[in-house]
Amino acid sequence: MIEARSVVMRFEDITALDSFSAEIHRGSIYGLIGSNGSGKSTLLRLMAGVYRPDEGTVTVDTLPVFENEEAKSRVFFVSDDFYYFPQATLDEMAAFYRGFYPSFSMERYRQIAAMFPIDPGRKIQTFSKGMQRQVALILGLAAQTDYLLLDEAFDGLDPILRTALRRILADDVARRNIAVVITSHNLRELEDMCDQVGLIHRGAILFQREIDELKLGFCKVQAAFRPLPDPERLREQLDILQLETRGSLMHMVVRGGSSQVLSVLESYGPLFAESLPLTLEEVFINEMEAIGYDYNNVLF
Amino acid sequence: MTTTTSSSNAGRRLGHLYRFILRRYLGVAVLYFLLQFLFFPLQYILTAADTMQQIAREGPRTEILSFLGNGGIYNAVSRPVMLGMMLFIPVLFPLLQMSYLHQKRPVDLHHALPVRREKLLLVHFAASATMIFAPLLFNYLVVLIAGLGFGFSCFSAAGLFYELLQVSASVLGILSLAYLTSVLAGTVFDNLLYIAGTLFGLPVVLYVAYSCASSQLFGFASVRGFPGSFSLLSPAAYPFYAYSAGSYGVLDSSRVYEETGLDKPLLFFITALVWLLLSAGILILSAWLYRRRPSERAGRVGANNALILPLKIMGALLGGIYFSMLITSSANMERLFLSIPAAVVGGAMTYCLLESVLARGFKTLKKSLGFIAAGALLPALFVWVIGAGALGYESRVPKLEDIESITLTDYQDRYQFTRYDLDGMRALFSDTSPASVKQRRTVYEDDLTLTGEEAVAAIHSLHTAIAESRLEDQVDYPSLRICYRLKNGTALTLSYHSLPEGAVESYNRLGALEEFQRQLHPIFTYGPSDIREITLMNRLMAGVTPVSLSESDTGRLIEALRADLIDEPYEEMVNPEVTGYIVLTPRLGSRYWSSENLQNPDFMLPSTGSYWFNDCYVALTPRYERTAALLGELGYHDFDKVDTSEIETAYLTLDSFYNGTMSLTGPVDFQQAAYRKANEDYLFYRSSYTAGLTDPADIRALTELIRYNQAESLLTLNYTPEEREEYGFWDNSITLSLSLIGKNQDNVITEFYLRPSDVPDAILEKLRDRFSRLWKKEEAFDLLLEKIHEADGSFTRLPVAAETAAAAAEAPSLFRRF
Repeated sequence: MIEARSVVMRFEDITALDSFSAEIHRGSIYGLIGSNGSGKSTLLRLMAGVYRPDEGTVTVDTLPVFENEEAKSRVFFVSDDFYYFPQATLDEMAAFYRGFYPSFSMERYRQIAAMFPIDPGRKIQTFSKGMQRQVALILGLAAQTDYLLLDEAFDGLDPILRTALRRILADDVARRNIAVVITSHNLRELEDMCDQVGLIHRGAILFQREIDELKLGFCKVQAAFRPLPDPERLREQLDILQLETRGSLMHMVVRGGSSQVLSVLESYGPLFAESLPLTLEEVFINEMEAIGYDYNNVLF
Repeated sequence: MTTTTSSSNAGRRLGHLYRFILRRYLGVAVLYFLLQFLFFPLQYILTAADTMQQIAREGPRTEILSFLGNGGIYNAVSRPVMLGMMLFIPVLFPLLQMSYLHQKRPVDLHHALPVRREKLLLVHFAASATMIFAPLLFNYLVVLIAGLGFGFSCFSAAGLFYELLQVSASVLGILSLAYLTSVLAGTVFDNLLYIAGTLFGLPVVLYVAYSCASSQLFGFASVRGFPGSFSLLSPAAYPFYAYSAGSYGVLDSSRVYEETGLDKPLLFFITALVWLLLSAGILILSAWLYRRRPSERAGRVGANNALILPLKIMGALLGGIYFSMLITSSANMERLFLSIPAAVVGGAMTYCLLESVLARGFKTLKKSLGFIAAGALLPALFVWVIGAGALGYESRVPKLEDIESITLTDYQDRYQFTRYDLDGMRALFSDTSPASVKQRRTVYEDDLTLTGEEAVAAIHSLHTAIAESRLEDQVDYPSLRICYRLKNGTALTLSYHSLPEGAVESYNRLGALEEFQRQLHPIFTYGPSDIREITLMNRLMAGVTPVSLSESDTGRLIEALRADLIDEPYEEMVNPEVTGYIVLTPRLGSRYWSSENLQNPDFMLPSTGSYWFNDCYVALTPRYERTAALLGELGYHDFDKVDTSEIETAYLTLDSFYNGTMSLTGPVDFQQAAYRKANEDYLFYRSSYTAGLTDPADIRALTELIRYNQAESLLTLNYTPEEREEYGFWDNSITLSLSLIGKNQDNVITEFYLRPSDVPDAILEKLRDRFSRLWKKEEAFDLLLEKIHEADGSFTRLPVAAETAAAAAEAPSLFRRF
């Protein structure tokens, strides 16, 4: 487990993380979402042992990670702008990392590299940005560490590659019980991949939940009534977060299970009533409104 | 088990990192190796081969000219190239290797690795050291093998290892400092500035402060070994100092025993050991600081660290003092009035410049006002202290009763014989290795120590007069360095580049004191057995008469001369009526002290005595009654007779100099044939302002006008600036040198001095044609004559020829003047 406890990180007069606490367990993919400058990359660097917290602790399997070789050997950090040695090829970078991470597997490296349209003998500086990101991910996956930190690593990747990477990550999580932390400012990107998400804003975590728990707790319903029922009466029976009427059509987002909500609506004799899947973004919007934040102010 | 696994993993990682760094910078290392090989071992081999051919042609003397430096392992190309290379390379590798600390992207990579930071730094350092020292040791080994193989006498394996030690200490010192600055800096540019400031800042600031003090502090005495010793504070600067010490071949042995009490080789050896230790300490400090360095400093401009403020303050000090010196040297005004504001402005400007460069802008200047003020005030304070007399330094004269002894350096008496330091040469020549023998040089004794009451009081009085004068009152010569040894065991040294005009006579009077004469004139050192031959000559240094005496009579003669010298009053020394010269050529004369003879392995120094002289003569005057009586008794009567009919030509040369010290014209090293030849060349060289006279009457008159104290021949003319500009006169002080060429070509060609105002106009007129060509207009010569007549009459004019003849008729027969 990676545990951050009451972590404070300041850069001169800016507080990047303010009493931040989080737990990331093995066997999960944790998505960390926040706007630019919210502290996502800072947190990852703290977990990777690049930064030392001004206050609080960051531990990996109970070992403080900063300047701890044992702890750091279990963590591989892929930054948003990964650095490669000048004139280095993918093979050379792999050889470099192999010397530092005992878990690095050349076989796994070759296997993964074969899946990507990248020439391992060509200089990385000649690659496009997207290809360079692929290189970073290949190296991270080949390192086979217990914890993989990916900072906006999927930006710039095409959908096919994203799908492939998602599968590889899921496979590694299932097979080796690793933990993956992915940061992004794009909820849609995280939706299909993560087990758990956390929302970070101005250096503090606003909330963190299991995705299933998040989704199960809400449902989106559209129903047609003639006549429309009284909204106030509906609100008494259901915990309605959002209600929109257009003619005879009623759209609502309700806290609760879909079967329970539909059965309540049935009592009003709808012309039709159906439950629609909620996107993670919609869940977030509602959760944030519930705690008093305007989603748009937080993320964009 | 886990611990063992962890340790072996850690060790494997470090080894992997080390090998990775070596592979990554292999190209640079190979290039460095090749360049060093080309400019060091290959140079040695080529020079050695060439030297072998030269030796075959010209003999073994040539080998020392080819090789330089400790151990005789360099030539004129490899010496400076290696010096430059070994300053540049230990900066280059850290700049390359540690540049990851100064950019955000690579710092993420390196600091995320499972390697502790101090290990990261130490492995990088080890890799740098490997890449620098592996080629270095190889190349030195090649030179060692070549040196042993060629077997030149100037080659020394010990010298090679000594040189290797110096280079190693310097390289490790620079390397460790470069790693320290890399840890502290946020950007590559800042790192470069820090490296420059750390390596050179302190010695340069000290040097500039020292220069300011030496130029503006009245009486500032430079300490021997300074300011070169400042360079010892930097591993990059001290190789230059060591370079100059080795410039003349293996360990320039003529400059030993600086006031540090250590000879230079030992001093540099200790310096090398100190820097080796310091390097280790600095490396440990770097590792400690690296552990605490925030990763986010990478790429950050003006990141705060322990080095930045001291560097800026040093820069401000340097700028303020230097600007102050610049302004005061350009302006001819009261120094303190200008120097303090100049220091404030220079210091503030320099601090602001450094601040804005390091911060890449001017926004931080407002926040830094306090430090800017400090940067302005510190140099101003320094300059004020210096300008105000350094808290009493300028006016400090110890009490007479507190003085135990006084040492004067480079005191110029009227004879100015060269003294050899026998004690110094004994220490130097104790090393009889072939290399050291080949480097032998004469060591001169410049110091004069006085303990007698009369001498101490006279010097004290002179110094008091000097201390009470002002810097602006000084004339050019002479300079004076006084070191007081006080009864409480302390010493005080003061040095004056020039003296006030009123003090020059007091300075000259010191030469008349017995204690001075006993140390400065060889007649008081030599015994009868030290004299090889004795020669008499007339006042024109002609009529050379050999003297053949027994040892006993020689002893009596020496005693007579000693007594007559001591009895000669100062007033008669100022404008002596020289009637002849007695030359006592020592057994160990100037040829004995030539470089060629010193470098003879069989050369022997006198076993007793602290110093020796290159020459010995005495100018005889009517006052020398004891000497005259003895010479008369021994049958030497007419040596002083002057026959001007033997003179073929008298050359008059217009000359100019200023030297307030007495300087007696005499037969300096007259036996050297080269001296005569030098005079012929000298006349030819000055032919454009030399005129020859052949009229016997003119020649006779001129010989009567000789001023045997050269200083007395100088005449100060009062040209106006307009006259100088219009006519092209070059100096206000003139003299006439008189060179006499005998009809017999074996006669010595000698040079005397005449005061222009003593010379009759009729003779001066004969110089018109030649001298007029020197100036812009023909009328210049008329103006010159006019100025000569107007010149101040404070000097005593010599009696005209008729008076001289009458006086001569009454003189004792031995010292007749013609």
